[in-house]
Amino acid sequence: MQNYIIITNNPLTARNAASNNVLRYYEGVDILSILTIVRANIHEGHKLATHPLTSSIKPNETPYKTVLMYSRKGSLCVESLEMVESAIRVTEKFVQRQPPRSWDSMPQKILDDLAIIDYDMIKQWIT
Amino acid sequence: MRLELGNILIKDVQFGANQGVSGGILTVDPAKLREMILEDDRIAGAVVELAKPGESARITPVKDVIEPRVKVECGEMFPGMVGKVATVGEGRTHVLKGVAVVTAGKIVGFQEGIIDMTGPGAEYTPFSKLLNVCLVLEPAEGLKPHEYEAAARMAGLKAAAYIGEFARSVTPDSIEVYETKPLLQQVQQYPNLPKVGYVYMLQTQGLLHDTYVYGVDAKKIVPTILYPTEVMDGAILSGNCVSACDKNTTYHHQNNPIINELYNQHGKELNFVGVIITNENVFLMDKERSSDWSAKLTEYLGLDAVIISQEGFGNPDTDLIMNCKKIERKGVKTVIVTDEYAGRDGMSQSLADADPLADATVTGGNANEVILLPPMQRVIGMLDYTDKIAGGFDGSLRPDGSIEAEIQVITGATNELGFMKISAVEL
Repeated sequence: MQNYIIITNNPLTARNAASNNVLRYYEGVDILSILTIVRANIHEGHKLATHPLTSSIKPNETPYKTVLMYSRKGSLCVESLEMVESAIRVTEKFVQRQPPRSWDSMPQKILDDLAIIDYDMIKQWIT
Repeated sequence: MRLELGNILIKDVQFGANQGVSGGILTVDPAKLREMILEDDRIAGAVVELAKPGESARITPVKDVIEPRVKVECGEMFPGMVGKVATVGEGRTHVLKGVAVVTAGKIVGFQEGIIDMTGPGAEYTPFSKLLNVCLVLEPAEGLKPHEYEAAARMAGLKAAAYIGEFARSVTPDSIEVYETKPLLQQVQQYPNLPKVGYVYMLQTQGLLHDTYVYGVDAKKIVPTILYPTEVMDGAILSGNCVSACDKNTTYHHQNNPIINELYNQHGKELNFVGVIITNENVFLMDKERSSDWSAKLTEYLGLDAVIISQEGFGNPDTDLIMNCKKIERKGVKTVIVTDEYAGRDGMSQSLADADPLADATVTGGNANEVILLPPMQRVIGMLDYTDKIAGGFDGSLRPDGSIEAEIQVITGATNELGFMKISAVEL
């Protein structure tokens, strides 16, 4: 089984990731920060495995983001870099236009559902 | 493959014990419909309501919209899901035209999907013009979102097949015939016309983002070729409802206007050769593979041009542009169909990806446009989390029941098959 670097702020992903992966769980950080961390990993020579924009829940409509990267390092992957830069631009655009809600006041049921949507997209590869 | 669609025009729908179609009136017994739905023990409750054009009614959160039909000869209804696995797209299908089954239920807390039957919101959804048999579905206690989604999806399809059965022996008001021949014959039929195909992208990214082909989860397929009539006859079904504006309901698949228009021009301006279905996955490797295959299939079919329609926004933009670039590089002309998230003023970059080869684009509209939906006398479904919906914001739901939100909350508002009334005019 391929193992991945899992960069996430989603507690559901963190709880369920199989131990053969490298889990980097950033509790409570926002999506833009997750993407910035992903970019730093690309600069270190890792390639994206999943697209950094995922699902139809827009970046200002959910607090959660999970991105999978290949754990093997190589030379800088320009394609991955372009993709994450584009994802950062899109995220900034959405957040600037309509800042996200205060997630602290969001009912737990909705937070749980948003976590499920993010986790569901990648669960088959990390469990 | 030759399909006859027998349209039975329905003028009104009513509740009554004497179920069937008579004189253009459809009668449904809500108790029997409910009983059939409750056979599935994942569903604890089902409320059946009617919503007609012009009524002060709001249906939300909409899960799916399905046109009731029956296979009169050749094949099964919703093969691999309701009916047995069988190839569809041939023979005779009767359609209750003007009617839809609409399922509603809060599968996840932030779910939108609004159909207003009157007022400004009604203008943004084609489903406000239909006679809707609505099912509000309550899950059994403790049911997980995945199981609830599957149960609600099946309830809608079974209800549409159940109601469609009333059309079996009715003489249609009109019969439309669609035919695509086996490939080599089809190419020979109009040798002097450009060979045009349709690349049909299906959203396939997990819970509430899935599509099914003959009962198979489309994220598990590699791109393949269908006769267009297979799509028209229930081969592709929706499991897809967020965000609601640019997701294809099952009704959209049954009535895909791109396929309809390509058939309208078939033998006149072009030779409509077939449909390539492909998916929109999360893994970049899958995106590469699927776009490689869709491009390869356009070459294999010897196409001169294709229309590519997208479903959704964001990372599917990457699939769209990959498909477009790779197909163009095969020497096949493309027109892409998408929608936009261009900000409330429409001034921002519209797509998350782009390429100079994508030089012919049709848009379904700007999903960020803000609308005020006035209160309705009747809510079919529930408004309990409307402040939390995708496309809404804190304070979206006002005390009087009106909703201020982006049009992305409206089912089908910026549909990327062009199944709506938004258009551009030259001033």
